[in-house]
Amino acid sequence: MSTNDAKLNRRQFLAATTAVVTSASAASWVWAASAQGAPVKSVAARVVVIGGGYAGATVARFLRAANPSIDVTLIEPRRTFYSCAYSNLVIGGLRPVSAIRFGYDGVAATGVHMVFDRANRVDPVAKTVRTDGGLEFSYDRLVMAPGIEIIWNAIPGYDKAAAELMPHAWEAGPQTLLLRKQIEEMPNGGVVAIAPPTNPFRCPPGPYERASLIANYLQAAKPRSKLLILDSKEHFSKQILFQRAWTELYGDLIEWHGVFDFGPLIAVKPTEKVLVTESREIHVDVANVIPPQRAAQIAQTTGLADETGWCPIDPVTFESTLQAGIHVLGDAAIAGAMPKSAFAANAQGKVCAVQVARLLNGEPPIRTKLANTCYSLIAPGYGISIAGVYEPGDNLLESIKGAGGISPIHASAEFRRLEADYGSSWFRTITTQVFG
Amino acid sequence: MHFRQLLRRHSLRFLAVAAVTINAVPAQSGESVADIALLTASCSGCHAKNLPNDDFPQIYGRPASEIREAMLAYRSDELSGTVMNRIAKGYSESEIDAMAQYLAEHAGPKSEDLAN
Ligand SMILES: Cc1cc2nc3c(=O)[nH]c(=O)nc-3n(C[C@H](O)[C@H](O)[C@H](O)COP(=O)(O)OP(=O)(O)OC[C@H]3O[C@@H](n4cnc5c(N)ncnc54)[C@H](O)[C@@H]3O)c2cc1C
Repeated sequence: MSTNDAKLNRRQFLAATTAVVTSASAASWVWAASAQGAPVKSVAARVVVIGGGYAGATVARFLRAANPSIDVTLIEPRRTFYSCAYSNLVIGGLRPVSAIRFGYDGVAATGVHMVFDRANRVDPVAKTVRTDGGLEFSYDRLVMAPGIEIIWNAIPGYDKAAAELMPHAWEAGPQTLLLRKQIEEMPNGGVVAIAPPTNPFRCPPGPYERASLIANYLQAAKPRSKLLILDSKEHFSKQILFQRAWTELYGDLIEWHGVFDFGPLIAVKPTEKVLVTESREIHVDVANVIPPQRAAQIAQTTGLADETGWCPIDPVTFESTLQAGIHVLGDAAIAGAMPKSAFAANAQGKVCAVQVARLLNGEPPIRTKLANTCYSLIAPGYGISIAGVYEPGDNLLESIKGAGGISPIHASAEFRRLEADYGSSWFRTITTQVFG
Repeated sequence: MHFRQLLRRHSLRFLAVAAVTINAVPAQSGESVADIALLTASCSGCHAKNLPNDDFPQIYGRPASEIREAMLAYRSDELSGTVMNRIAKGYSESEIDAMAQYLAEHAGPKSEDLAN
């Protein structure tokens, strides 16, 4: 019996628990959550996880913690993960790119088998996954966490080649650096445009945090410049907080145009740096086009996505409602009121790990609540947040009424400073938990 | 006063004075430790056990009475934090009781826990 077990048995309200836990390094809450009632069986169940981002890396290592006898394989094509979260700070020149770069040694150290390859075919009946490298893996349960893909040409003219001239920077890495470089090279007095998509998309406050931090850079380095936001929406996340802060910090440097001003973006002319909206053609110096997105390709070809392009799931287990035995997490999933955020992907990964371990062990899943907090940085020392608490509803995760919401509209400078600090602490904490 | 400042200045002592010692009783009949453990999953997004820094208060191993009183005070806005007032409102009193008890009993040397 491990020391953990002895501790557990001393607890009065746990008298009935008889689980045998073999790993002293198991995360205690995961361990307890999978240890209800029956002893953990020693079958070597196999779980394959596709995608080593916030959701996939979390679920992989927490599965190992939930039950160390589970054989976990994580398939991810890249050895280096670039985080989208905090990439706006790199674009704004506040952090070096090394701050958003992570490897998988920490994940591998938990006993997860890392396979650096791209999954290209899932057979949900035979329960196998094949990779570009010609490998084949069998699974008892599969976790699909591949994030998003850009829908090329959804905006006519915006294809992969266009993204080299007008970066989206909505997948971090080279795109992040390209946008940073273009802004750095732009002359004083230039115009930067950001064109955000309609909902739903990855990180609803992301475009506006980006606008803030680019403005922060321009104000100091190129004060005669302008930042235009050509939105395809009428409203956006944390709008009142962003707009008040923009006026307060950046005067009229940032100009937001809702879809009602010029209509949606209907085409791009990348070589001319022209954005075409319904009512006008706008020539800019730097164009950051954030195009429409959907669940990544492997989720589409596996038949996990519905007509919206995203993957419907059971809100308790995250199991696909279209393919049995496959759980979908993170940005690819339709998680109801839960936004497509790294915080949410991590929380879902932890919950899903426990549900998968229980299902493999013949135990019923547990209904639970999940929380999310997304911080946005508007300037150094000026942060805001949006939070929510969610529970499974009729078929989706629903917001608990009366909980969550945005930072107060009237708050002290100290409050904004604290939320800026918490944002950076959150980033360090989450990346240590997922990749460390 | 903010929770963090409060922790630094008072180690939550003044909250603890008002707190009632909670005996180890499950929150609701039918609610198992597994349920409660899962309920705390989102907490560790910030309040991870293996914190790389001391920016967020450590909640694992903190006396249950302190966690409970802080959460209830956030929930009723008697204590003003930043995001915790908004999050605390998502949980019932019995859930808060159970989570506080769970967190209090799950301290442990940092090196022992890989994922929290
Ligand atoms: C600018 C910006 C700022 C953001 N800021 C924040 C923030 O402050 N806070 C926050 O909470 N969230 C933020 N987000 C959102 C956050 O980045 C995403 O919600 C999060 O990355 C989603 O996690 P995921 O695991 O679903 O996808 P990802 O993190 O994208 O991971 C998916 C992984 O799957 C891999 N993959 C894809 N296809 C395959 C395949 N066929 N085989 C194998 N592997 C595959 C990819 O290589 C990738 O590593 C931000 C996003 C952006 C764009």
